[in-house]
Amino acid sequence: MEEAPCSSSAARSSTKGKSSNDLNIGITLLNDDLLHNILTRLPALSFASASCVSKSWNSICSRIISRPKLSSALSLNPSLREAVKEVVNKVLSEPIRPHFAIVNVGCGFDANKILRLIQRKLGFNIPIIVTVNNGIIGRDALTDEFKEVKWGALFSGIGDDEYARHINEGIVLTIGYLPGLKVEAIPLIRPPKTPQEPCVDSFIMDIKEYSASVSGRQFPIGVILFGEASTDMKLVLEKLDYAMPIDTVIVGDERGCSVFRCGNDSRNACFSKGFIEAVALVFAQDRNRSSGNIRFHVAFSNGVSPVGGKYKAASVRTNSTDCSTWLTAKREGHQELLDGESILHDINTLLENHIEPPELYIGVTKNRKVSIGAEKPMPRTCIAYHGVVGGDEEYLYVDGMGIKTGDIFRFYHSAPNAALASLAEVRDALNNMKLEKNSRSFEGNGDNATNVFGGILFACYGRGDSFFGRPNADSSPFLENFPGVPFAGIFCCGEMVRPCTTLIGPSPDAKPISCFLHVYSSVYLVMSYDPPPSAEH
Amino acid sequence: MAEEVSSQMNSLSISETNPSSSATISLVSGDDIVFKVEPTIAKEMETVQSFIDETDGKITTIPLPNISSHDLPYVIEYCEKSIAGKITKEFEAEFVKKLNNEEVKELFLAANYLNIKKLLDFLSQVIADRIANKSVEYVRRYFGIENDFTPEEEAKLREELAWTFTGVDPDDEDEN
Repeated sequence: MEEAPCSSSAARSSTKGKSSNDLNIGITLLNDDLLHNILTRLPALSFASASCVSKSWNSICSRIISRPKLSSALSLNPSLREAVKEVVNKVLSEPIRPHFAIVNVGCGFDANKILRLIQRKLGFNIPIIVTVNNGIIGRDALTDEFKEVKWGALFSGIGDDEYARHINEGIVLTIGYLPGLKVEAIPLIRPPKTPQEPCVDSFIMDIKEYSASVSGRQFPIGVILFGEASTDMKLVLEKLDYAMPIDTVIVGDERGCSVFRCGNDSRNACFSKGFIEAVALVFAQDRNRSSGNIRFHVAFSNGVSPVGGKYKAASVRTNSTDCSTWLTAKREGHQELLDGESILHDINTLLENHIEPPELYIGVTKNRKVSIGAEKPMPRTCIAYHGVVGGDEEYLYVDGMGIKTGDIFRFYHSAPNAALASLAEVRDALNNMKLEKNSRSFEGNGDNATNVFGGILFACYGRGDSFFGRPNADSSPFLENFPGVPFAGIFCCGEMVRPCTTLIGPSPDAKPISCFLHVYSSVYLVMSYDPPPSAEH
Repeated sequence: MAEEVSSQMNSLSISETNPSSSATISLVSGDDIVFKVEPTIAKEMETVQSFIDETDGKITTIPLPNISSHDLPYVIEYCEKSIAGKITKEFEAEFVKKLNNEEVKELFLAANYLNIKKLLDFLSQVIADRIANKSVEYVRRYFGIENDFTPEEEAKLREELAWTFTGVDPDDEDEN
């Protein structure tokens, strides 16, 4: 909330010499600060009406929302309508003009119905993305209590009956007002019987074109990406990472996108052309407005530790029906060919003192050539994690594809201690942002300091209170440093972030090898605002 | 409870001279009614307190020409509660229930004139609540504001804000 300054001299002069009979006129002549104090308390819809009252009211309203804002709320009300009502009322309880909305719901809610209701409330000309997740994070719309809610496994492969019993109701809504940016939802559409690659290329061209059309610059400042459950996002991320400059923030959830709507209606017409594999919420600079500067920062909390030495993939077979890879390997520097059983035996011996068997992954270093469209392919190196399914006397079985003979890999296991240590680092990094603002406030320059106005969390479904042994662990670095600043998020299956210049705190990978699709991690998207240097308010 | 009532009686005892409490401050409303209040109450009213300070406390009768005898008791009541630390949601709800729109506006101006930050903030919220979910026309009438937009300008504004013009309460006119 903004404070309405009200110095005694200003207050006195505004009513001096007025007869108390002329009250309407008295109110009309109230100075701007008093009116500011009233209008800033209006809920969003009434605030919008207030800006239509008169020219002077309009300018006061513009002043009140000259700064960007995020607003989020969570509801666990089992009634879909009531839950939507609760979160919408909450996010619209103060002055804000929605520019985009991200809605995350439990699988017990019908995503299409949610989309229609939210649209009716927030308008038809903003991008809205509805995702279905198996966990939501946010502040309760009614009780203000902060909650990390995790539901039964959605993708754990248990049977349909079991699945039905795990249906859950809940919603978290995040809306943003970002003057100075333009926001649009851009889908990755794959027509039937088309390979993925050219579709990804045209998806990236769409993002560039949109960005160029609003800002004159081909690259957005940030992209929040939501993949469809059945889509392999590795290629999408690899190409996006390649195509976007290092200062473009890319974060998201590998699976979960359900339904969405673009702000520009003509875009919505093309959905029928194919299957939607992913949708990107693209944030690009608005060339027409440049008061102040909105920045996206990323923080990363790792949740896995390496175990054992390095291996080199020997024979590799892929099974495209269940999207898995079978492989044998050699220890790096050794010639002996190892089967799955003996590899896993070695790793499990190293992990013997673990009480709970941890989740195992292999992190594969891949040297590949990447290009967009007809460009000349360029070499890139990245790490990709593959979940370990098991091993026998022949092969080691892992999730996913894209491993080649000769690739170097290493085992990683989920590690709460490593995660806690990295949470502490994230906390410190966020604290530094806060301290910078505090020290400038101390110098009387607080209004001009970088101001964190919101955050979005993408936490691995494997984390949460069962992993840490305490509630709200993943949210705590943000909540402790920025109490009262809107913050919400999801538990996802495949949290995504690419290395970028605005990364604060611990880095997910050693340069120049990058990793975009993580396991057991938490990704924090933090939005901040630098007011223009000469700002008076 | 008995205490509260007696203190209220005390503050409302209009222009009765009470020689034993020479420290009280006399507030004179615009229609020449004298209200005697404790100095602690005067402290809540920054405008009054600074007047007292400027005259080194020699003058204890303060004319408040902009405030009527109808409004002043409300202001005093709020200040008393505030000193006692008894501003609760229940009290505030009861307090505003008694007030019609005109009175809220008058009190708002009084709070502004007396420079009582807490009361001003509270009444700002009350006014905000009363114009919330009302049409633009209602708000203009409420504040007595002339629409200075051209029809074209207003149409353009409303178009931009089209999403908000659903679910406005029907204009219920004020009780007076």
